[in-house]
Amino acid sequence: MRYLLLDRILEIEAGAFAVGVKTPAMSEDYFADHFPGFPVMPGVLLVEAMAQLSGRLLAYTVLATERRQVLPVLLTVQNARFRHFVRPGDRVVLRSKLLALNENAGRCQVIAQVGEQTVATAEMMLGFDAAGESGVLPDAIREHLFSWANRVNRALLEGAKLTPPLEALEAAAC
Amino acid sequence: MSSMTNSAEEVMKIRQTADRVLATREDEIVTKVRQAVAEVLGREEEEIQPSASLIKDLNAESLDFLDLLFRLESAFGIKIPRGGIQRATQGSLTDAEFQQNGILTEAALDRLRILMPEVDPARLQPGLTVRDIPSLFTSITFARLVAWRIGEQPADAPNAAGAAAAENKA
Repeated sequence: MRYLLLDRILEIEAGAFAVGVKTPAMSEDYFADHFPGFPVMPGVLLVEAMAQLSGRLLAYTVLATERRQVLPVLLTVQNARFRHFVRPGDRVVLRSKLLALNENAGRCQVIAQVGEQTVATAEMMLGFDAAGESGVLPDAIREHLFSWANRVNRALLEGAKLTPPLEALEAAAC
Repeated sequence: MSSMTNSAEEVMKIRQTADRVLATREDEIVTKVRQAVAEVLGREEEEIQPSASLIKDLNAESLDFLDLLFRLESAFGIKIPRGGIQRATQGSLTDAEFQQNGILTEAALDRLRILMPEVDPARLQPGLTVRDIPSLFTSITFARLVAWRIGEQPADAPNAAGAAAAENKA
């Protein structure tokens, strides 16, 4: 199984919210064991999907407001609730709302829904690994991850509604 | 803040702002801060003694402080400035005026004595390093920080992530 738990990002509004989608397929490895004969997407993987979306929201927000590239890393998860099973083929729509932000970290509240039904909710804090004082990763690794994240982003964000538009940020970065 | 600002005046102002707010709201602020600390550290409120070092006695780590600051901002509707306490501590002092090879200067210790009256003066002695500062933090340190921010806040201050983003941009 690959570890990208978002199929697509539909919308990001910097400083406000992001919407993403994950549709777990019956062919995902974990369904074989979780559970045999009764496939259910593991709650921890829903949390990871929430964290990945929130990470994109935070990175986009910091890029839009400060023109700074950061790598968000999951620090805390609070009040995670798994309300209903997610089954193969369910289209899970995740909404992450920015609750608070400072130079070192951001806090998000995330809701996952299948249709009208809320399947999971959680709050989480992600810290920013960036070049300089707050950096934990070796610079070379971080650079590598940035270029990887940019490539993944391009695919994930195709057709997404972005505020401000990505081109505006890229133009400013040049 | 202007680099011309006299360092002692600057910290005295912070101290007085915090004292003024605490004079009328101490119980409320201390109680709410204590609750936030207990939640962040997964402790009972009774364990959060005013003199307990969050790091040494309660095993707090840096991510706990990040979490705590966010909770305090939302609980009190305040914005804690970038760099938080460390920044207030150093203020307009240059790095060289603040520390030499990581060891706090006498000017830095003077600032700490004014800003952190809750800390036993015996602990604020020459030889203390920059890295030792977080280990001085107690729940009272954060109550004073909150009181300072409440006192500084304009009456109609917005309290939203958007405001934080706007501030970061500025």
